[in-house]
Amino acid sequence: MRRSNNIIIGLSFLIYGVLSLLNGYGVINTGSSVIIGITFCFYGIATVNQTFGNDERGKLFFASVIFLIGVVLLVKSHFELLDSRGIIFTSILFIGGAALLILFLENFKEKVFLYTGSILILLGILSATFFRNYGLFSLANKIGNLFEYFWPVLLIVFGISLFINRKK
Amino acid sequence: MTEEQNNKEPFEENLFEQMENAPPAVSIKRLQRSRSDVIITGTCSGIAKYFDTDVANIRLIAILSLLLGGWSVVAYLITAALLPVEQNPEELAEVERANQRKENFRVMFSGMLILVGFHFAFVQIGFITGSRSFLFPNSFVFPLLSIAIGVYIILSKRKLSEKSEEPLPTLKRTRDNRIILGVCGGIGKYLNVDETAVRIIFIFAVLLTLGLFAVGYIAIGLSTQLEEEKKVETQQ
Repeated sequence: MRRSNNIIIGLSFLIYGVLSLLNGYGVINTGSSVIIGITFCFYGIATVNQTFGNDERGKLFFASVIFLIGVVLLVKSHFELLDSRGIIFTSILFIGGAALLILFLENFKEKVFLYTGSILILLGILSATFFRNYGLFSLANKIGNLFEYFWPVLLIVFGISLFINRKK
Repeated sequence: MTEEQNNKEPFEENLFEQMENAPPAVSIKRLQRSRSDVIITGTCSGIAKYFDTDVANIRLIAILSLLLGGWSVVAYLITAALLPVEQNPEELAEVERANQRKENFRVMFSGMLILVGFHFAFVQIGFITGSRSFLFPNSFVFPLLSIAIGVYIILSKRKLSEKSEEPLPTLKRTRDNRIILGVCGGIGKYLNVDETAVRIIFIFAVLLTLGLFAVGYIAIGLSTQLEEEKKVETQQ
C-alpha cells in the first residue's frame, strides 16, 4: 500500500500553496523559483527516503531527478550566474548521471548504471570546463533560445503522445 | 388431488421457467454520476456512459475547457451537485481497478501537460494575459488551488498503486518496442514507467545537451543484452 506517498504529494502541494500565498501577500519575500525549488527538494528527499530499497525504481529515479532540479533552482536563485543558460546544459548531464548512480546504489548488480552515470557526470564536468572553450555553449544557447520559444509546443506534443499511448 | 390440479401444475412450472430464462429488460439510460470510475466526482464518467463514448475523451475535454477562464469548474461543480449518483455500480476485479487507476492517472497527467502547453502558447501569442483566473489574480487562485489539492490528496483514502508481487526485471534492451537499440524501452520496463515518456524525456535531454547525453544511451546500449525472444507456443 502506498498511502504514505499520497501524504508526501499532498504535503508538497500544501507547502507550495502556503509559501506562494505568503509570498503573494508580502509575508515572505522570495521568488517563485525558490518556492518551486523548496517544494521539489522536499518531495525528492521524502520520496527517495520512502522508495529506496523498496522495489520502486521508477519513483526513486524520478524523485532523485526532481530533488536535483530543486537544488539547481535554489542555487540559480541564490547566486548571480554569468551564464545562466549554460548551467542547464551542465545540469542535465549531472542530474542524469546522479540519478543513474542512485539506481546503481539501489541495485548493485546493475553495474551498467555505475559506468553510464560516471560517464555522464564526467561529461558534465568537461562541459563546464574543457568544452566551453570550443564555443559549445554559444551553440547550446541558440538551441536554448529555440526551446524557450517552442517549449509549450513540445509540452503539447508530449501530452498528446502520452494520451494516445495510454492503453499500452 | 383432483385431475384439474394435475393438469394445471406443469403449465405453471413452464411459466416460471419462461420468466427466469427471459432476456433482461432493456435498461433505460440515465444521466448520473458514476461510482465505479471516479476521479473527483464521477461526472465525466457518467456523461461518457450516457453518450456511450470513451471517458478519457470527455475528461480531456473537461481539462481543456479550463482554458476558457476557469468557469468550467463552476459548471462542473453545479453538474456534479445536480446529477444523481449511480445506484448499482459495476463491480470491478482488483486487476481491472488497478488498470483503471493507471489509465486515469495517464489521462489526467497528459491532459494537464496539454493544458499547460496550450496556456503558455496562448500567453506567448498574446491570446490571453495569463494574470487572472475567474475574477481573482493568479497569485491568489493558484496557491489556494494548490492547498485544496494538497488537503484532498492527504485526506483521500484511495491508494495510488499496489505493490507488485512479480519479481523485478533486470535491465535488458527491449526487443518488441525498440526504435534504435531498444534502450529507452528497456529502461521503461526496468523502471516500470511508460516507454514513450522515457523516449521523449531522453530526446529533450539529447537536444539540450547537443547530443552529449546520447553517450549515455550508447553506453547502456553496448553494455546490456537484448532480451530473450518470446517463444510462441503452438498447439498441435
